[in-house]
Amino acid sequence: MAIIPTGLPAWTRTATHTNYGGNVNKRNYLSRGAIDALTDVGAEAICRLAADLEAIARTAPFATITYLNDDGASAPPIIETVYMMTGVRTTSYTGGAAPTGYPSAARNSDGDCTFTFASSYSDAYGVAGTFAIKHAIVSVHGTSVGEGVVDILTTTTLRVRLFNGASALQDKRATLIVW
Amino acid sequence: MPLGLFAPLPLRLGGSAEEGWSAADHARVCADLVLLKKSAPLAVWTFTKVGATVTIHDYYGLNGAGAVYAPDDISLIGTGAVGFNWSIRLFEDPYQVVHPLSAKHGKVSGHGSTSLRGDVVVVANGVSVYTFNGAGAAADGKATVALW
Repeated sequence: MAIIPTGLPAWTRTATHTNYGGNVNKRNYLSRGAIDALTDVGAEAICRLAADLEAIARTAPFATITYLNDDGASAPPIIETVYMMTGVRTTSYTGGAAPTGYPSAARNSDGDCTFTFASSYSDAYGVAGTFAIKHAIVSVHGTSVGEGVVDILTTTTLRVRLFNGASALQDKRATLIVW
Repeated sequence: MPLGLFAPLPLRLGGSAEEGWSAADHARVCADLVLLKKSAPLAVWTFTKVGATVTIHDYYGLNGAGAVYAPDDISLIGTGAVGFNWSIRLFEDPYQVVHPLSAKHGKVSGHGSTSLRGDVVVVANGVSVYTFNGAGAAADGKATVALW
């Protein structure tokens, strides 16, 4: 029977060091430390690992996405690269035809699209955790003035608008980071 | 008593993939954890500023998640400008190990349907955030701040 990890996946931001084996009263058996640092892992090391993992799991982005608006054809944006807690995709795809497990994206107008995530994802052990967008940052690529704004529409949808230097919507390449 | 057999800790590395933890697997965990620690965001939060009212939404930080861990010293600098500082700039982990919080990098990104850009100034106890509209004028609004 497969093991079921304690706690919920990192994107739920609920894990504590105890989910990783930490405990403030943890101690080595008979208070004896590691005999050989090359072969043994002591309670102190487990607790440091657990506390640090708890900390970085809280602030790690859920997804980093670089995409390109495809307004020339009034088509969904091209998702070029996705780094997600649940997977990495370096082969581009059309926002309207997202591979399983990756966000889709739909065009609203020039420089304006909406990303849709799933409401739940599963980790490597099949443990499902609810996903809800809380924060997002967008940065425009290119050699001319540009900027973007995000608008969290629901817990799973996020609208991104990209502007040129005159604050007019314009198709651009951008990187979106979602927590 | 042999370690890792009857005694829970110290754990002796080795054994099978199903009941043990090999030195190679442990080394990969250590290496990856250390590299993640080097680049992990220090904190991220979204805020709304409307006049003299500043609201922080859903703070995530290395020091904890939730309002109690967010910057508690919020100063109004002016229109579109607000300072987020920790009055006690210390991070205490679950084992009461304490170390100062120290932001080195910052990034702000606007929310909404119209242009809103932002700058950050990293200061000793936190960060000052400045947001501007599409015309480059200081403007209140909603934005996400990320610190490293």
